[in-house]
Amino acid sequence: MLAAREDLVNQIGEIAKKNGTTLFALTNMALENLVDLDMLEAQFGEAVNAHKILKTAREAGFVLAPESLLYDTAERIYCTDEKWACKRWTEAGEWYGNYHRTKKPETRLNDVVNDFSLFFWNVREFNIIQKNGNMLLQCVVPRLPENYSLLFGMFLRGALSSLGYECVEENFVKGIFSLTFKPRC
Amino acid sequence: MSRTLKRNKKLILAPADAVGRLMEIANRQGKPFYTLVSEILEQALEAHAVGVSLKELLESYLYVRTHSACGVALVPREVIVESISELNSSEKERFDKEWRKLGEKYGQYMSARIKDPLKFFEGLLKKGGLWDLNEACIEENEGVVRVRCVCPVLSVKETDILLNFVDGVMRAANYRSIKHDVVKGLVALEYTKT
Repeated sequence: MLAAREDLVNQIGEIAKKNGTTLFALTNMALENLVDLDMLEAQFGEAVNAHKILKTAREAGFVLAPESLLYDTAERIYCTDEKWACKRWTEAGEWYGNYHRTKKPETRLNDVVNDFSLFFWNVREFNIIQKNGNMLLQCVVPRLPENYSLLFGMFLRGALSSLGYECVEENFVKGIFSLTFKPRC
Repeated sequence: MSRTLKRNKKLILAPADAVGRLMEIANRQGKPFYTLVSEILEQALEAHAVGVSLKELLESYLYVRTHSACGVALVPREVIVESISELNSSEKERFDKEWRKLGEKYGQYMSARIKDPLKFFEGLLKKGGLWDLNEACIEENEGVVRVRCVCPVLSVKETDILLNFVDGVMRAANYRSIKHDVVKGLVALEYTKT
């Protein structure tokens, strides 16, 4: 037997009833899952984020691809037809921004950038810095090839453009790129 | 199966081994046992409120961890699909090889780390975000493993990629292919253990 908050036990009991199972079965499953998570050295928040990543990826039309192949293909496409490649990545970003905007119109920019950092685990860091009314989005990408970084920057520009921000400055140095946006009037 | 203990507290029945393991976790995290149990129940309710179970969250965590360990990244589908169509035939061949290699990596990772790799692989195909498949099913019957993936919107090239990936996983998990049935948007394969 173990002691728990009465209100929580009651709520779990109601869910169990609705699902045609028992309080014992349901609490047990929860306890076991927590033990499993702990064995994986993971926190509940990480599991929630993982679920969010997969759900958003499905909804927003993302797929997974081997990193090396993705970078090589981007490089090849960029070198063959830079204009076309930039256009496609910008359009994909615009679509993603519209997806966010229409899903949750009250979404704040910080939330979107937080989602970026969950979603693009191949990017080491996303930082937002407020500067003279503008917003500087800095990405630390030590592993990404330069041309892929450029195309990824196009994606971010497209996404933020759909959310009402215009890119006024961009800076690409190997390993780090920063984009400055100002709210569109 | 609960008993009111004091005001605002209730006793619930739980298996002794789970209680033992939870006590270890509480000690390690330096929190009272009661607090840890309440946190777990809160998390279960939080998950329920967004329409998932803790089990599903745990699965999602394992899928994302596997992806990250195997070196894949998320990319807008249309960008990658259109890029593939721009590649020449030798580059496309390389694509197939790379996806097979990736499948082998997943197969090795799952065989080494996951209790029931085939069941996990089925879940990964269904809900793991690699493809938006309408159907993914892995069944084992009398030593024959049948893998079936369906997604009518996949192009011929994407179907090839899926085939190479699945075949890579199965071979790395020590299965030998005995039958291939592949058409655009449909991959049906049969394997036996080597």
